[in-house]
Order: sequence, then structure tokens, then C-alpha cells
Amino acid sequence: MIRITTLVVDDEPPIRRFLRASLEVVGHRVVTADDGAGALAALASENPDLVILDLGLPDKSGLDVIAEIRQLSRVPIIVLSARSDERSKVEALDLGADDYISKPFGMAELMARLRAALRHAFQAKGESPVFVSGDLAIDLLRRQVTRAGQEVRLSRKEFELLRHLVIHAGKVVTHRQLLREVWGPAQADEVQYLRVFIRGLRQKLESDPTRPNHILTELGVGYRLQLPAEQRAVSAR
Amino acid sequence: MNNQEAETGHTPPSAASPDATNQDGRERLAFFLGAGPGPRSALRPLPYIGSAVAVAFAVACGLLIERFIGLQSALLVFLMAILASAIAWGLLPSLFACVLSVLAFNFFLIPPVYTFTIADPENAVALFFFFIVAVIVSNLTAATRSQIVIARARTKTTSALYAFSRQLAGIGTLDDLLRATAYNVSSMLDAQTVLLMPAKAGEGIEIACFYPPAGELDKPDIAAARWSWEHDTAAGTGTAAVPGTKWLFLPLRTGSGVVGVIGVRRDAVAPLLTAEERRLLDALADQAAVAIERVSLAGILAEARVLAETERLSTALLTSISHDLRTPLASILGTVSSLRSFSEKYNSEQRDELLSTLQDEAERLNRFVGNLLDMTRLESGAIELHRDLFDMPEIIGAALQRATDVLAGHHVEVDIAPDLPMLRVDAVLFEQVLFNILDNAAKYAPPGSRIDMRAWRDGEVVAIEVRDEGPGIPATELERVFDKFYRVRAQDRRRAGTGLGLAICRGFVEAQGGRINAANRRDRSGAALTIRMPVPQLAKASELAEHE
Repeated sequence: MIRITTLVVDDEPPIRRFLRASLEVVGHRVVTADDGAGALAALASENPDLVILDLGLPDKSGLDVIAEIRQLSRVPIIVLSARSDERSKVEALDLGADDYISKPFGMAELMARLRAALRHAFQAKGESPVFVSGDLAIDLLRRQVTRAGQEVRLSRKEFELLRHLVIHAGKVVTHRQLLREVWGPAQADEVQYLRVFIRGLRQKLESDPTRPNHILTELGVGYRLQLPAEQRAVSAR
Repeated sequence: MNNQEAETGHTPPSAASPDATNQDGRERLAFFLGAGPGPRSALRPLPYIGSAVAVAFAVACGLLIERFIGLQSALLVFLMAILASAIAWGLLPSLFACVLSVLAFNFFLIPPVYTFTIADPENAVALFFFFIVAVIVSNLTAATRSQIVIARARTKTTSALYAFSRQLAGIGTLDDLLRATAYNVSSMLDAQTVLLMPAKAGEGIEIACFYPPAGELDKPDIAAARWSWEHDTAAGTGTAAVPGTKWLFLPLRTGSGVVGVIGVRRDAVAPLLTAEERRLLDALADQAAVAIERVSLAGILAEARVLAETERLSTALLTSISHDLRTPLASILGTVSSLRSFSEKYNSEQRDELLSTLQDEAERLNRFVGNLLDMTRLESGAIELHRDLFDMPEIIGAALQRATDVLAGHHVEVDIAPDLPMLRVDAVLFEQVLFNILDNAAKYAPPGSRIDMRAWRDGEVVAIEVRDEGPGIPATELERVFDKFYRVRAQDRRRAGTGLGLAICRGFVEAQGGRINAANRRDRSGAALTIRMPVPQLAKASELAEHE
């Protein structure tokens, strides 16, 4: 098992302290920085596998830090942000952050985010093209979706949409990203299209479309395909 | 006495002005005062022509009467003409008629006719006494008439003042009041009018209202106005104080002091105001002053009420913060310190329990801080709406998802009509509304009971209702639950609520054009909170998306 190096960037010592403690328990090597300049320096010297980045830094905007990191590296970035600040979440994701988590958060939630981000980073290592979660199975190669063993018929666009969610399973995908990938750049702002199709998908895939278990809504940001329960569980790697 | 003509309504040609409104103003003024401006009316020819016509008519009748009855009776006809002239036009025209009558009677009727000589001394005596009687009758009649005219004018002035004060009494805001005053004074006196009120910032007075609206005051004008304000006296043209201006300023005075200054200006006429007009202006100014004071007092009262309310709220806020922040903090600090001190003595079950207390309390604190933030954003007007078409089930789903822990002890039934149109809302705020309502239901309904969440279309609105099986809300408190820091049964058995949740709901829902209200269930005990959101009048998104 590879030992994962995680860079934690936050100006609040208590947050750095508890993140370090928790991440070390699950086997990460933890490096910390308390501002944007320190983050970029640590990025160069420590070559982390994962960055946890607070958006409110003393020396520069976290959004700028994301942009600068992205010029150097494709390392997964998870953003820590205040709730009710959907704009900057979307901005961070559009700038290339992989996911976000709202403060205050619980460790279980953070671990699930980390896992999804890392899983995405280490993909293409013989991963199965079939996504299975609960009674739902999605075979990307054969373009086949089954729910409780029954085949579900999806339209071409519905399947495309679902495919993008599966590729990024566990991670939030913004409205704009989905629209651009599925409908093309010209339609990137037609969020209503997306809502109608998500509604359709939920009707076909969810046992209770009003309380979805698979396609989760991140209000004001985008959607997230829930990873299967066993992959969400907190456990030492 | 020489200007009653105006009262009769006969507008003499000389008074006819090309400026119709100006003339109208003059006429209205004449109605209020029973008197027009003096010197011009003496020149009016109409009453004299009328008197002459009356006398000519009397000559014609006199000739007939003289032929059939006798000379002496014919005199009485002339007396009628003089009487008519006195009633219609007053003293001067009727005296004119007297002289004319004597001459005409002499010329046409007294032998020898068509001369001014009188043959019979009896006729000379009769004519002499006729003249004396006619002059006395003229005088008496004209005096009576002018009294009637004055009385009528007073009645009109009084009723105009009464109408003015009644109009002012119906006005609730200072701006409207000033506008109405300026308009009325301006049209009654046919003059430019300005009102000056105490400056909102700093010392002195500032211009509050002009009528006609486009007007301005020069430096000397303002100096005169300030003089009037500071010395509580008339100032400006025609007065001893600051006469170098075309304006006349009067203080608006009440029992408790000067509340403002009124100024009038009339370019054409000098002096600016007749005595009657000045009296009218004084009366109008008194009325206006009383009304202004009344409105200002109402404003002060309202301000005081707002202040008291603010004070009450900040007291409530302090109480709430000290309670709602301290309670969870106390639990957290206590739990943490006991975990540190006795860690090895607890078994894993006890430790677990303490840890979940810790988490619960921290989450409670988090919710409270979130509510305070939302409330602050609402109150400071810092809410920025990002409205877009949203699928209701999606938002409901997100709220239920976030409320999972809160609702763990309850059984939640969701029933959403399948054909709901999309709504134009800020999804994040709307989710917060639903979350707060669910949180509220969970707090007041006993554990294990059922919470129903329904959404359906009702004509041009979509209704979303959350019903619980709790004790419900006392009927008198149904509106108050949306007040800040209000908690049902606030004193006894304090719940974990902050008293902010529903106030935030109302603020957020109304900011998005919807309504929210609370009711009690009819079928059983329990509260029902209903949100109604308008269906947007837009092309349906679903139709757009159909052709991918």
C-alpha cells in the first residue's frame, strides 16, 4: 500500500491539528501550511498526493491558490468552505478543485470525499467498468443499467449524463461541467435542461425519487453520485 | 363698500386677464373675502349702465302711468328703479340712479315737458322730497346688501378654512401635508407659496415644499425666512424685518412653538396682501401649523415605538444568545473536561454516550449560529437572491437529506404531486426554509410520531405543507410564531429552539415572493405550516428540454 502524503492548508491551528491527527490515524503522511505561499512551497518540496485547502487564507484568496496549483500539478484538491457560500464553491470547482466540504464537517464526510478524490486520481488501474451501488449496476462499456436485476431503459442523453456521474462517482460535478460534457459548451448555462433530465434519471433509478440515495443534490452547486456504502465507510487503508 | 361688484359674479371687462388661471384665482379669492382689490372696481361701467337702463325703463312706465293715473304715482316707479339698482349694484350706482331719475322725471314728465323748468311749485316740492327719500332708500338698501355680502363672504371663508383643516386632518405624512398646504394657500391667494421646515441635519430651516413646484429662494429671501423662524415674527416685504425681498414670511406657530415658516409672493400686485388676505393667510398658517405639529408628534410616537421594539428585541437577543450559546457550550465544556479527567474510569458505552452528547451539542450550536447569521443577513438586507427554476422534489429531497439526523426520531411521510411545475426560487434559501420547518416539527412533536410533508399545485400557486402530531399552536399565537425570538410556551419547558427558525422562514419565503402561514390541524392535534409559492409565468422548462 502506498503511503499517501496529504497537504493541509488552513490558517487555523485547531483545524490543522485535528486534521493531522485524524489523517495520520488512517495512515496518511501529513504536511501543513498556514497560507497560500506556504502551500505552493510545500507543493513543490513535498509533492503531495492530495491537497486540503481552506478558501479563506490570510495572504491570498484560496481561489488564486487553486489556479496556481493547477498550473503546476493535477493533484486532487479538496476545498474547505463556509456553508451558504455556493458561489465560491462553484468557482473553486470550475477552477479545477476536485471537491469541497462545508465547515463545520464531520470526519466521516471528509474521509468519503478524500476517498472519492483519490479513487479518481488513481483510476485507470484496471478498475472495473461496472459501477455497482446497492441494487444499482451501471456497465459503462455495454451501456447497460440494471436496477434490482431489471434492465432500465435510458435515453441517449440520460445515459451520457449518468456516465459522467459514474466517471466522477463520489465527487461533486457542477451543473456547468455536466452541461458542457453532455450538451456541449453552447448549452453550459441551461441548468433547467439538466434538472429535467436528473428528475427523469431519478424516477428510473431511485426507489424513492424524492429522497434519492444515488444521485444526490448539492444545492446551488451540482450533483454527486453516491459511492456504494462499503466504499464510504471510514476505515484505515 | 365700493367693491361689492365682484361679489355679484359680474366680471368686469377690465379684470379680464389673458391668464385664465390667474383670473380664476382672483375670483376665488373674491369669494373667500367678499371683496376684491379696491381701486379698480370704481371704474366698472356696467352697474351705471344698468342703473341708466333701469331709469329709462322707469321713464317708459312713468309716461304710461302719467297718462292714465297721474303724475305723483309715476314717481313711485322711479323709486323702484333706484331700489333695484341699490340691491343689484350697491350705493354708488343707486345714487347715480337717484340723480338720473330726478333729471329724467323733470325732463320727460313734469310740465313743461322736454325742459328742465318746473311750472308748478307743487311738483318742485314733490321732486325735492322724492330725491331725499330716494337717497335714504339707496343708502339703507345698499348698507343691508353689503352686510349680507360680508356675512356670506365670512361664511365662505369659514367653510373654506374648515374644509382646509379637514383636508389636513386626513393626511398622515408630513410630505403630503406640506404639499396640500402649499397648494391650498397658493390657490386661495393666487400666490407663489413656499414652506420651510426645520433642517433634518443641523441647525436652521430648509425649503420643504414649493407651489407651483418649480421655485427658488435667493439669499435675501432665505435671510428673511430665517428671521421669521428665529424671531417668531413676520418678515419680508411689507414688514419691518428684512423688507428687501419680494416674499412675505410668516412663522407657523402652535402652542408649543414655531414648527416652520410659510412664505408667499405675488409679483403683479402691490401691496402684497390686503388686510383681508393677510387675515386669511394667518388663519391658513395656524391650521397648517397645528396639522404639522400633529403629524410630527405621530412621527415621534412611531419612532419611540420602533425604538422600544428594537430595545425589546435586543433584550430578547441577549437572553437568547446567552441561553442558546451558553447551554451547548456548557455541555461541551463539561463533557470534554469530564472525559479528560475520568477517561480511564468510563467504559466504552459511557464514553460513547458522552461523545455523542458532545456532537449533538456542537451541532445545536452550529444550527443556532447559522440561524443568527441568516437572521442578520435578512435584517441587514444583505440577502442576495440567486433565483432560478427549480424542481421542488429536488429541494425537498435536499432538505430531508440534511435533516436526516434531526428527524431520526420521527416517521416522515412525503407526498409530492407528480405534475408540479418548476418554481423560481433561490434553492439554497428555500432548502433552509424547509429544513427549519422540519426541524421545528421535530422539536415540538413527540418522538415516534409522524410528520407529513406534502406538495401540490393549487391553481397558480404551489403549496408545500408540513404537518406534525405535536400539541399544535395556541390559536392566538398563530401569527406570533413568525416573530423573532418567539417560542411557543417560551417560559416553561424550554425546547432547544432558538426562536429564530420560523422568523427566518418567513423572511426567506417572502423575499422570494411566496407566503407562509401556520395553522392547526383539524383532524387531530398538531401544527401545519404551509408555504405558497407562485407558479412562474414562464415557458415550461420541460417543454424546452423535450427536444434534446
